[in-house]
Parts: sequence; structure tokens; C-alpha cells
Amino acid sequence: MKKGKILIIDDEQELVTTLAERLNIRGYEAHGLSNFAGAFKFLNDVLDVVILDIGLQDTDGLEVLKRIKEINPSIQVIMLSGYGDDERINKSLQLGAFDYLIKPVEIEDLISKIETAKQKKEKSK
Amino acid sequence: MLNLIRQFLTKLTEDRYFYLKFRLILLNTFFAIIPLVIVVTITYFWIYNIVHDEFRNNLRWQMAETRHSLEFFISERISALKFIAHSYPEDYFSDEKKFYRLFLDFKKEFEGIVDMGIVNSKGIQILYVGPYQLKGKDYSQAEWFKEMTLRTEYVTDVFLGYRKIPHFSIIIKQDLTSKDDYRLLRVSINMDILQRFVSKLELGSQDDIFLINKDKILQTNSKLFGSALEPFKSFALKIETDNKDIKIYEIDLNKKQAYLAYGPIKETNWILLTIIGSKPYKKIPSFFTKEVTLISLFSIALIFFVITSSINSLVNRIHRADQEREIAIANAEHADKLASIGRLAAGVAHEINNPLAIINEKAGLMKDLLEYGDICQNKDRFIQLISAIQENVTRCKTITHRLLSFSKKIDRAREDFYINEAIQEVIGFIEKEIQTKGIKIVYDFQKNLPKIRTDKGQLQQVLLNIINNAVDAVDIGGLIEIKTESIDNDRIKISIKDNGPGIPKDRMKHIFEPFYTTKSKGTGLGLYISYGIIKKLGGDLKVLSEIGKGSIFSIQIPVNPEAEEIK
Repeated sequence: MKKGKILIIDDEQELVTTLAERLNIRGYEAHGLSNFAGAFKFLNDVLDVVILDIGLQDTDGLEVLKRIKEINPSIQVIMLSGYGDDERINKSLQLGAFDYLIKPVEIEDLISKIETAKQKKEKSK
Repeated sequence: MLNLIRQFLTKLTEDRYFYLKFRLILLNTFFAIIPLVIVVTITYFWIYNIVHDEFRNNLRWQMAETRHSLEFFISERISALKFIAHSYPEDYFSDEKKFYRLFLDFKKEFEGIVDMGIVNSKGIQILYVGPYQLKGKDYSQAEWFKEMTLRTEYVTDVFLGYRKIPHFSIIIKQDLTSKDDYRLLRVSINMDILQRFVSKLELGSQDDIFLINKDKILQTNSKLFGSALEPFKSFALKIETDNKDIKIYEIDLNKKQAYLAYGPIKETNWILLTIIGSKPYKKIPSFFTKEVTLISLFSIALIFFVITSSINSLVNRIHRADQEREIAIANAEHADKLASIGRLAAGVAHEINNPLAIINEKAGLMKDLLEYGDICQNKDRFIQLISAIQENVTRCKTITHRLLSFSKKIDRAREDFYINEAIQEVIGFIEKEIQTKGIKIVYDFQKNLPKIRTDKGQLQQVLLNIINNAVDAVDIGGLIEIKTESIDNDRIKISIKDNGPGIPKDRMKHIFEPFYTTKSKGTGLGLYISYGIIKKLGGDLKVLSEIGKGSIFSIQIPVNPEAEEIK
């Protein structure tokens, strides 16, 4: 039994694959995408957490967040970005992001956030 | 004195505000004083003319008085003599005893009579009473005797005569009805009497009054022009003897301005003459010279004081406004610069964060594989190396995250607290280092400061950073003074002063820029972050420094930032 289903969307392919592998090692079912186009098939699935970058190649991460929340509001989205400005942070939280983390992040911190997000999702059911 | 003038001139050329003050004070005082000067000058000349006219009138009046007294004296004696000559019986003029009695009576009644005599038509004095031996003297060649052939009465000029004493005579012709002949009744009066008349006037040392005759021979002694009977020839003056009026002229007496007044004496050849050189007419009344001068000086002083103080305050205001404008421009430029740097730093941080995240995750994965996977050779060595990579990633992350925090808004973690207590807490963190270095901390806390409502954690971070810098700046046994004070009741100022070496001017410009450090181990982000925090708390962070004396960092923060925002 996997600890949770996680989708990582980031235009840095190297980061996506590495992070997914690390989460997988830790017992999660993590999938990585470098663009939003392939994300739809996951969204209707039982997805616990999306780890989303703001600056994507094909679209804006905030737009993706909005779409995710429209399709499935119960999915918890953790924003993971190299930016740390107020505007993006506030906008993300307003659009329903669970949290906003600035790269690079310690895997333990990320897992801790994932777990809290999962709990929130459970409660919201 | 020369040094003072030089300093003044240097200041005038170098300090444009001083020059402005000087020019405005000079111009304003000049134009304010002009009407006063005009009024005072006009008044002065007006009063001068009044005094001058008064002097001329007074002189004329005094001359008339003296002349009148003299004329009365002469005419009185002429009338009396005429009466005697025409009314007394013949024997009074032939009998010596009776003539003597007549003389005594006459002398008793009329002051100044010295002697009396009768001269026959041949010029021989046939009767004489008086102190001199003049009976039988021949006057046929005397000027007055010749005059009397044509006249019935005559007042002689002053002359010496047989007695050799200056005197004059009043002579009356007595017609002898019986023989178709005449005789002359004459009395002599000493010149001293005339002198007494002219001496009645009170005169100054440069003034003079005397009598001359029509031939300009002094008839009385003159203070300035000699004794009686000497010619009066000090200055060329055409004296009109026909006109009976008193004439007044301005003359040049020994290159000095003086007044000359003269008038002829009736029944005589004399002219009364006065010279006034003492210039009493120039004496402006004391109320003008004293009161008006005092009032004018007081007014000028008052005008100068009011103009100076108002221009001083005006130019100081302009100066302050200019300074504030310059500071505001400098601050705006500084804030703009820091904001640009902030944006740049945030951009750089973002660009670095992405590859850093990849390095971090790759290293993390390697570690994971070693920890979760099969045991391989040198596993511990690999984990050690990967940890080193991760540690350095963390170091980089600290820097990029701090860079990002400059433009990041602070959470509204506001709480009410006392600033003095918050500072004491900060000192508590670094107490050990302070003690080790033997640094003396002096607190100058204002009591009863209000609680402030702001992010205590962030503010303490700033305070810790600045106090830490001060601790690094001072030598062993150095001094740090921390002062708190209220400004306008809605802001609090915290000053941290050290007696370190001070910051050179060229470094001051960069002090709040990121990565600018003078410490060997510093990141150069402390003051950059502090500045960002204080700005976000609605406050201001400034630094003043002097080489060799130390630096003062002052933080101003609003007591209640929410209230400030509403404003």
C-alpha cells in the first residue's frame, strides 16, 4: 500500500524525475511531468498531492493550479518554486494552494508538508 | 580684526545661504531706513531754518534795543541842553558860579556828563567847569567847531582832544540876539558810557559789538578789531548809512561763516555793528539732537533686528527645505537603488534555486540509493561526500532564500511589546560574547515608552544584526550605547552607537547593498536584510559615522504601523 499518490509538475525534467524517484523510494507513488499537457489523465484519478512549479514551459503554474482546483478541488497542491516574492505566494494561496515552498527544499520538509496536505484532504472528504 | 574680515569674506563667497542672508538684510535694511532718513533729514533742515530765522529775528531785536537805548541817551541830553540854552537867563552863561551850579544840576540829572563849557564864535572856550584845565583853549581848528558853523546841534565822533582821553561832545548853538553872534554850549561824555551800552548784550567769545563812525573809525573798543579810535579795516564792507533799517548779512570772517548786523544811530555819525561768529543758530534744539537721534537709532536698531531675525528664519527655512529635498531625493534614489538590487537579487536567486534544487535532489537520491539500496564498497565515504554536497547546497539555499526575503512581505505576526525589554532580550543572546570582549553596554532608555505593535521577531533580528556589527566594530573594552526615545508620540527611535573606527565615506554609500561586507566572514546580507525588514515595518534605518569616533545606527519605527497605514 503506497503512502499516497503524488504528481510532480515542473519544467526541470531532471528535478522531476529525481524527486519522483526519491518519493517513490519513501513509499509514495510519485509521477513526474515537465508540462501540464499530460496532467489531465492523473487529475481524475485518486491523486493526493500535486507538487507544482510556477514557471512551466507551456503555461503558467498559477493557471495550472486554478485548473486543478476546478477539476478536482480536493487535490492538495504544494507550490515549489525558485521564486519567493509576495505576489506569487499570495496569489497561490488565494487560488487554493496548500503551501508554498521555495527551492531547494529538504526532502524531510517536503514529506512533512505532503503528509499534512494528505491529512487536510482526508478531513475535507 | 583683519582675520575676522577675511573669515567673513570667505564665508560670503563659500556659503550661498550666508550670502543670501547678507544681501537680503542689506537690501531690506537699506530700503526700510531710507524713509526714516528722509523724514529725519527734512525735519532737521526744517528745524534748522526755524532756529536760523529765530536767530536773525533775535539779533535784529537785540540790535534795535541797543540802538534805541543809545539814541534815547543822546536825544535826551540834546533836548536837555537845548532847553538850557534857550530857556536859562543870560547870567547863567556868563557868571562862573551860576554856570557851575547849572553844570552840577545837569550832571545830577544826566548820567555820564564829565564837563561843560562855552565856546565863543572864535573857537575859544570862555567858560569851563570840569576836571580838566580847559578854559581859554582854542577849538577853532577842531572838526566839530567847523561843523557847528553850519549846524545848530551836533554830536561829535569820539576823539581825544586836549584831555587825551576818548570822549565825545554834544554841542548846541546859542544865538546871541544882542550882537548877531553865537556861542556853543558843549558837554563832554566819556567813551566808557558808550562802551557800557554796547556791553549790555550777552555775547559769546567769537562775537563782538561796537560802534564805528562813517569813516570806519572805531568809536568803542572792539574785542576782535582793536581799541577805540583805531581804524576798522578787517573786511571790505560797504556800509549803507542812509538806510535807517538794521541790516543783517552773512559774511566770511577769517574763513569762517559769521553774521554781521548793523544800524546807524540817529543824531550821530555812529553805526552800531555786531558780529556773531559763535553760530548759535546752528544749535539745533536738544530734543532733536537727543530724542530724535535716540528714537532714530532705536528705530534703525529695531528695523535691523526685525529684518535680520525674519530673514534669518526665512533663509534657514529655505536652507532646511533644500536640505530636506536633497535628503529626500538621495533617500528616494537610495531606496530605488536598493529596490532594483532587491529585484535583481530575487531574479538571480530564482535562477540559482532551480539548478540548486536539482543538485540537491540528485545528491539526495544518491544518498537515498546508498541508504535504501545494497551495501556497496565505500558506502560511508559516499554518504560523507554527498552530505558535504548537501551541506553546501544548504549554504547556497540560505543565501538565496535570504536574498528573496528582501522583497518578501513580512507576515502579520504583530504583537504588542515594550521595545526596551525586546532590546534586553537581544542583548541576552550575545551576552557571552560581550562579556568575553569586555564591552561596556550603556543603556539610555526613555522610561514610559508606549508598547509598540509590530513583528517583534523581525525587529529583534534587525537589532541583533546591528548590535552584532557594533560588537565586531569595537575593540576589547569598547563601548556601545543603546538609546531609545519617543518621537512625536507615534514613532520610536532606537540608536545604537559604538566607539569603533567608524565607516569611511566611500563605504557608507554601499552599506545597505547586498554582499557588501568588510568582515572576513560576513555574507554582506545582514544590513541589506535589516534595511528591507525595517522598511517593511514602516520604519527607517539610517547610519551616521565619523572616522575615529564610531558609528550610530538609528532605527525609527511606528508605534502602530496599522495606524500609520491608515494615515
